[in-house]
Amino acid sequence: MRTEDLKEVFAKADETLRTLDALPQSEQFFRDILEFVRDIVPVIAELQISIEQTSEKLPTASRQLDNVTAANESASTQILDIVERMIRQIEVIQEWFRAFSRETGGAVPAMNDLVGRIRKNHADDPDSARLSALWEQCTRALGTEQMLAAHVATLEAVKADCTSIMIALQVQDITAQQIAAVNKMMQSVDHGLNALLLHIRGEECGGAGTGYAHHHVDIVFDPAATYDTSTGRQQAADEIVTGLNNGKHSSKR
Amino acid sequence: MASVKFLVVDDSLTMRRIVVNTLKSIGFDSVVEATDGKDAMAKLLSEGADFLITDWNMPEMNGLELTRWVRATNPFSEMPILMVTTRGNKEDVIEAMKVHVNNYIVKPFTAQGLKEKIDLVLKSVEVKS
Repeated sequence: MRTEDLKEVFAKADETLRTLDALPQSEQFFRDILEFVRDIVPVIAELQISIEQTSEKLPTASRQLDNVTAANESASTQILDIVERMIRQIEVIQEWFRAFSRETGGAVPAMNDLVGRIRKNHADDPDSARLSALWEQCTRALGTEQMLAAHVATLEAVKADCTSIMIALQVQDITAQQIAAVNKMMQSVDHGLNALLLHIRGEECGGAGTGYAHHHVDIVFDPAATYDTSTGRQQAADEIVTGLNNGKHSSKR
Repeated sequence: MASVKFLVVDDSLTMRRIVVNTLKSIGFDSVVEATDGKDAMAKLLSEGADFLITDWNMPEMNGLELTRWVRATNPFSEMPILMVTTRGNKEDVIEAMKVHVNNYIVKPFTAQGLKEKIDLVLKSVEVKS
């Protein structure tokens, strides 16, 4: 055995002795690690089950949201049908009032004059008094031109309320976009969960691929869509448009 | 003014009905509808229109792309265009103005608001009656 070999053997022995000296301190460290592994394995198993269950539920939740959008759309369509019908009927009644006013507008003063003359010329005739009384009753029932105009104005106010109901139905479009945004988020979360499952056990589960294949998931949406009826957003847009338009020399391009 | 033919473009049936009914309530009876930008292109080429009211977020072809196409295509390049959208950020408005929409409405709009914008655009642009 050469001197160099001896030196190498001594160095190796020395190194091993130092390792053996450290073993008592290392033992607890290795014990802690092994206990941790023993404890974490069932937690990972539970986590896996939880991820699987969540991944299976997400497509169902997505379909339920889609049902909400569909119901909203159906209700809005029904309301629109009713409102449109009401507006048409109101317009028919308004036109009737206007036509009535036109027809009677000239006739009423002439009738007043005629009845007055009959009363004067046939004062002793009881039919004359009766005619006068009946005519007075008729004119009260027919109403004055001002009253007819007031009815038309009332109907116009009702029509305006119908229009307001219709305008408020924009909420359906906006909420459909908001729900579509949530759907996309859920799909994204599901994809992430499935990637995790793939990593844990080498296969996907849940419906991340096909579970979201329903009608409203394909809506192109504005992720910031909001039902805000205050005028601030429109005013802000108007300021920008005005500012940019004032910078143009011609509207022609 | 009442003879102006509108093309209303929105992928939401509810929204199209609202806009069409509002147009009728303010005196505009001549209205054609389209479900997205691509449908709008086809309707313009086959039926024509004098005034375009378009949504932004639509499948196939969005409102911005439709506007670019209209501005680049004769005889529609000078057509008045109103963007009606939920997008209300400053950047969105600027982006729409860059492709030369005439004006911009943020949803939800009011009937009066839509009328005012249409009047404003019609006054600023020559429209063949």
